[in-house]
Amino acid sequence: MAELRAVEDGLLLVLDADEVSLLDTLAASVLTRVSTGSWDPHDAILARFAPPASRGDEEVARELRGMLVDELMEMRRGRLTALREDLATWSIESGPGIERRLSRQEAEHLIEVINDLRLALGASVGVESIEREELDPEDPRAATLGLMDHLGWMQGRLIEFVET
Amino acid sequence: VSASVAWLVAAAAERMDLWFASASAAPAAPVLDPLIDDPLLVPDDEVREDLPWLVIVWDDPVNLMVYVVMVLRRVFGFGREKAERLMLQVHNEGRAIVASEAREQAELHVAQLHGYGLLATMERQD
Repeated sequence: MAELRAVEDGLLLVLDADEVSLLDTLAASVLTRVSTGSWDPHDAILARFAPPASRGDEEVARELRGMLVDELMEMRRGRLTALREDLATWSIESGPGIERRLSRQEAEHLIEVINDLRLALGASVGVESIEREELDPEDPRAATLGLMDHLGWMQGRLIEFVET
Repeated sequence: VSASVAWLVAAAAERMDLWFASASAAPAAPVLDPLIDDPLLVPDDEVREDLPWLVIVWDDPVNLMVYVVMVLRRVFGFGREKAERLMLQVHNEGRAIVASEAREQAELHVAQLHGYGLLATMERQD
């Protein structure tokens, strides 16, 4: 289970090997998705990464999507690639309990890429149409949402660190 | 988080293909549908080009409230109190107008908000 605590020169993040592996696997999956080279509005994850810039003015929405979609996908590719490269370093340097000291800037980067992973997880199960209180724990979507929540806990602690 | 991470990892590993395979077939999220009757919009013949554009942030079920506050502070330079007030408006009312400005500036802000993963739109001010 992840631990985060403030240390003299930043934040100490301690992850299980499973968590590192999971972050890497998730990042790889989403990276594949945003590296297809074409933006598909019917792909829920890609649609979530480049949402409409207008809800009623189709011309504005279309124009801005044309301007922004490549940049938004490239931004995600950059973050996810950086995360995977960084995680590879963590794995090499450490044992089962992996410690990583984070500067404020590194924590900010991690917050952003965790958000991308959470958005992808949510989009993959159509989170906006799920009544979570009514979701059967055995429903396979519950595991995905549980993972989204776990990453949210980690993200919240990181935000607490950079905002104080 | 009630479930253990080990369980989540195991469940995630089993479902890795399902996650993103199912996403392709997922219907378009209702939250992304255009709101035809949005009261902020006006018919084209009433549009005045000199009027500013509104930047609107919409509620969504994934972004943490503290994350929205952080993003609003970064993008617009708001103080914590103002950012928290706007975030609560988004959370409670479904959306909040976070800026009223020239079109180019509104485009820049919407792009930045999308980069952070917020649902943001821009509309001509009535």
